[in-house]
Amino acid sequence: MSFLSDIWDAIASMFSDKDTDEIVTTCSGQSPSMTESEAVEWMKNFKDKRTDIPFDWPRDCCYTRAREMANELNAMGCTVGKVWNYAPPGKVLRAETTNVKEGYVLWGYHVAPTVPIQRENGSITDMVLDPSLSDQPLTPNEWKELQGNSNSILAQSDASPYYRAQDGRVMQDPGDADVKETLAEHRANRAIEPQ
Amino acid sequence: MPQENDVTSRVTVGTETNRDRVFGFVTEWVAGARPAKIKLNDDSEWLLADESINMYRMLIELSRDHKKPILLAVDKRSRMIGMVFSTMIGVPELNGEIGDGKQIQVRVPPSPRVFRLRKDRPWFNAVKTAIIGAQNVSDPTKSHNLWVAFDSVESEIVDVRPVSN
Repeated sequence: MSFLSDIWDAIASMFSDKDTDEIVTTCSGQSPSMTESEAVEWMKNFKDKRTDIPFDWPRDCCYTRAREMANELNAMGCTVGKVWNYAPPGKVLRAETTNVKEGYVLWGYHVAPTVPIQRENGSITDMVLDPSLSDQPLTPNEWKELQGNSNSILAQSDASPYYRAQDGRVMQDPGDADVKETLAEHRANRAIEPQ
Repeated sequence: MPQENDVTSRVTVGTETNRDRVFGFVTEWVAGARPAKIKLNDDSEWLLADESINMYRMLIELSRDHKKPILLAVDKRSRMIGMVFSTMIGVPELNGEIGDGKQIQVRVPPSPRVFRLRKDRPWFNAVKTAIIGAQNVSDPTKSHNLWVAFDSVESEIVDVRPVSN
């Protein structure tokens, strides 16, 4: 009986108890893309799972968040890129947020990962996954519009640069140990942020 | 530019005036003492009053835990700490004048944060010279990173020091 029960449990564990339209099958098979609803669910799951990443620390950390998201998306088989938004010289990006007392943060640049998204009309477009700004995937221009500077400059790259300057110079990935320390530091900075 | 552990430079930050400042790594932190006591790698000891804001205590602990230096605005006679500033490592970039030309925007990649360097601060010239020097290093094998001390609340650069390897 126990043997049959174990077999049944093994078979049952191969199937999800979720409705079929809730199952995330992102970037599987021949398609390195995901649907918009899959992207929304992936973003929520990632944010819930990775409590070591301070998504509520908008002053800093975008490059580390982008690195961690890109790595996971890449491991899932997605074709991952990064999109960079640069403030013009002497100017800033400004993003509204409830996570700091001023109600906004200023950035010199911002970065987030992109993946190909199957849109409702059947087209596939590279869209930005940035849980620090939106729960939804955004087109690069929609993402840029949330950063308060119409003269900012967008650039796209593959997922490899840890940091990319506006002139194209890149800082390569510093490795897991360094990133782990950076995340710990950003969590600590989150903790000391005046409320 | 002030040298590491130089205590002769004077600072004027926020509401604090004419304090000395010390820069170093935290080697000992006795948080339970009254007042709390901090020891730096030059063996100097400094005191933090009970009424000091909690953020200063957390900045000291952050510095100790992450083995990063810290900048303290102090009163050398009483040994009391007035303000605490954390540091980050990097090559700062001067990015144009802001605030009616009274400040310079500074960025420290890869951080997206925007800092300001105020021209009316006594350290303005020293910090600016150090940043330009770090940017102009042409030997790629030579480290040109700086420790950048900053006021997180005001997003203001308050000092830079060379990283000694």
